[in-house]
Amino acid sequence: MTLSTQIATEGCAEVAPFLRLRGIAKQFDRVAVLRRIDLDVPRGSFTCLVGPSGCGKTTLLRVLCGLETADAGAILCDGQDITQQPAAARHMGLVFQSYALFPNLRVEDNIAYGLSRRLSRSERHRKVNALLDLVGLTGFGRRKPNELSGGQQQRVAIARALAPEPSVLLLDEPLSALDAQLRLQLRGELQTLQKRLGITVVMVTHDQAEALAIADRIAVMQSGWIEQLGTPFELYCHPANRFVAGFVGRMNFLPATVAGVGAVVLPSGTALALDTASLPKGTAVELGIRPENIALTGPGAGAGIILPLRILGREFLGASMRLDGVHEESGTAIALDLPLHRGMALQAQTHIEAFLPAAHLHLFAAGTL
Amino acid sequence: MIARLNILPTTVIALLFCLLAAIALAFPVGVLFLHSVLTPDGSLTIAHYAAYAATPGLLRALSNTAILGSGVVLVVLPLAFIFAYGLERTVLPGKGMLAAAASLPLLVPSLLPALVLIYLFGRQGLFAPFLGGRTVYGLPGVLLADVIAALPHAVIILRTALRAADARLYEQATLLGASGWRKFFTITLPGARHGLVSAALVVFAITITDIGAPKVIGDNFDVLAIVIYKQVLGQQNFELGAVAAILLMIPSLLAIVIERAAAKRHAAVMSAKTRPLRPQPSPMRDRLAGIVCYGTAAAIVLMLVVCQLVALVRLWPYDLSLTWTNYALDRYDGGGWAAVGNSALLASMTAICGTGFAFAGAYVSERCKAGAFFRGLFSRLALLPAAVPGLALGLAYVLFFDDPANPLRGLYGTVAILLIANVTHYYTVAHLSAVGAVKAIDSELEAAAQMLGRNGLSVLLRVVVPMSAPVLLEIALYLFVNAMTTVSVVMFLYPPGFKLASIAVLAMDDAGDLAAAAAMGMMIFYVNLAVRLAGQWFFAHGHRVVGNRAPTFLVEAVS
Repeated sequence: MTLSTQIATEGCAEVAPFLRLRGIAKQFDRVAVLRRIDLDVPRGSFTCLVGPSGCGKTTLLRVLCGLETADAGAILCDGQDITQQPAAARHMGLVFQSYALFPNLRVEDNIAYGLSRRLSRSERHRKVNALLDLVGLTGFGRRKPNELSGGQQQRVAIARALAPEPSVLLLDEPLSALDAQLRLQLRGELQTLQKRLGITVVMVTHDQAEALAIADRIAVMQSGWIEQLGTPFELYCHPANRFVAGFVGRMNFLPATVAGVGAVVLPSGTALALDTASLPKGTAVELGIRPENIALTGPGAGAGIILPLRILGREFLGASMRLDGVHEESGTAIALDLPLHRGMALQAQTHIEAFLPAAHLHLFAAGTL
Repeated sequence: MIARLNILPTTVIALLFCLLAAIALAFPVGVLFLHSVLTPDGSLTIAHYAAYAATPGLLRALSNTAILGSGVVLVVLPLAFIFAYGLERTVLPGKGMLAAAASLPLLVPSLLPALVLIYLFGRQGLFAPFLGGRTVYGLPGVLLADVIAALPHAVIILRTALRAADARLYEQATLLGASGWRKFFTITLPGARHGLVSAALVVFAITITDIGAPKVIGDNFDVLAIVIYKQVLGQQNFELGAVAAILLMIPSLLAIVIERAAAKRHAAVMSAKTRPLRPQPSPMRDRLAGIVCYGTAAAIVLMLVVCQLVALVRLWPYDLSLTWTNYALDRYDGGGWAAVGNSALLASMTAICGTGFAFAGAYVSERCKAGAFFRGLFSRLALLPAAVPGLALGLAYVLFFDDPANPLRGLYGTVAILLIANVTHYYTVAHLSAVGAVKAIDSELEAAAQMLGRNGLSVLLRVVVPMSAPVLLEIALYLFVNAMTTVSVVMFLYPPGFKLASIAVLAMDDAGDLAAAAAMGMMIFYVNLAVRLAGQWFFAHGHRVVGNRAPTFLVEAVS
């Protein structure tokens, strides 16, 4: 298998990206769906395209595999320009959300569909069985697709896409049609499979939690743009803008104004030292903080904002308790996660003082969404 | 929650429907069967079947029927498939026109294509001098005429089958490196398999039960339908006629059973989420499909043009000067202009009564809670008419209603029996369409209206009927057109004082008045076309009114 050679070259993946997209643009009926997208995908990486529906992530995937042609831009695969190549010549495997198995063909025939027709019968048989083993469906080869559950069908679809040993495996919302439990299980299997084969995977999903859990790299898309590209850690801890901050995980936002270099002031008049970069004085900004970074006031707290909150409701999250509060002076809603034993003690309508440590505050220029 | 009619206990209604079905279908067909197995003194016998088997001519009719049916299927299926493929899967200009042309044969009696073949290739046909003594009479003529008559049915079924395509299967195949042909054989053809089976069965059933074409152009090529006709009308041998009718029913019955079994299997394979396929240009494929589509459409239109010309010239094909004299239909046998009026009247009544019955029947069998036994019985009986050929039904009515012991004998020889026969014969399709329409309405809508204090009847009239209006109109059109063109259903039943246009065409042809037959045949076409166009207009304009008003009605009903 060429897959083994991929594993061998994985070490130098950072040197030259395997897939290189430059200035990809696409319009449907004069509506721009993709606006000059640049994206690098390292060899052997698991990249997720994530964004709200209509952001262009599926179109980007279809342009990548050649089912759609880009209006502008270039696609390079392993150094070769494949922009004008037809879909069949690109050797990419695609898995759809709804599996799209050929209903009239048995599982083994579905998997063998993309195998070279020059292969001998026994060779085909061997490959199909190896793939069935790989996706955990040993012995299911003679079934028809409609005799399988949703999760099994999706595994067949993955095996079928892998059969011709594609250079890239593309997944279009592969888990969305499955129920929650199965989604988690298949997600883990998918990740294991990818690591084992060392294959380059690009997956489209609207579920940011799924992307955070499975991907090496995530491209957050909105309105045909890539808002941010980075590792799950970078996206979560250093969101580039308010959109990414709000889309990946949960974040609270407080309005504020730049008071000078290195200082912001809240509407209440409280001033705070914070890195304001090059924003001029008087710029309206928003301060963002994740619920788990908010604590209750107590001794030994460092620099930060103290906000009096009234608790409106509680949400039991298992290990922690999420409190939905409101800052009554400004009407700003603030959610905070507390350890269970502390959260349990606080009933609705209780007044508390929340502490927002400066170290966990993110600063975004206002109005950028 | 399911809405219930409150004015009458539904059990009574369901029972009533079963009773009607018994009188209109089950009893007559039962009597027909009894006539084929009983001696005049009432004991069981297979003598009639033996007599049938002992007559060489009748046996030949049996094999002729099979040959004709299979032959028409073999010609129609590929042709209709390419036609439907051209409309659904290629990039062709004028698809609307092509589709309209393909459905034109539905508007004329099946004997009209046969007549046109005679005008062109018959003994005195236009091209007779070039045929070197050969003619189209017999198998070739019947086959060709039935191909034209059956083509629209196959095209409709195959278009539906080809329309339900999932683009993602084709995309997946593209990515896996499949060629156009491989995609055709692994995706397109398997996807249309059910449609092909269904179309083959329907075409076979239509062909073997047709009397028009074999009567007009069959010459010595006797088929079962002709045997029934000759035995009943010619020799008054009802027993042999009954045997032939029963023999004719067997394949139709089998076809229904196979069809329904296939449909059930098919439903399980259909995936819920599909992305509609939009055909991409492919010059070679489009050109080939275009040739077949436009060629077929042109042949159909030409057929009607020739028929109209024959009706308008003095003496086809010798004196081609134009004249209106052939339209003095009253001078010929068959009933004249009155027959056109009679046919239109009967067709209208069939459309109105049939639609009403079908909708009521569908509503009772789908949405009522009580009387489960009778509802189940009725929904099974409703499928039966499709298995009873028109001639068999006609003969069954003669044997059942014209029996001195039958209290309903008064119906025999009246227009009412024609109406009952027509509604019964075309009931299955009407019923199934109506069931589809009723099923398509979310029963929670009715529940919602009911919860807000409206009774079942009000919900039915203000929610269900307006929302089903487009389907009801389609059913009415179907019934009208079929009642207008049918020969077989009414052949044994029309009273002397109520001649019908389709029968008149046959009588004029029998009497050798070819031009008058053409004129009468075209009158049927024009009436049907006018009704169809009116229906189309209503779909385009009235439909919008009804469609938009449905939610308003709903608001009224619940407010």
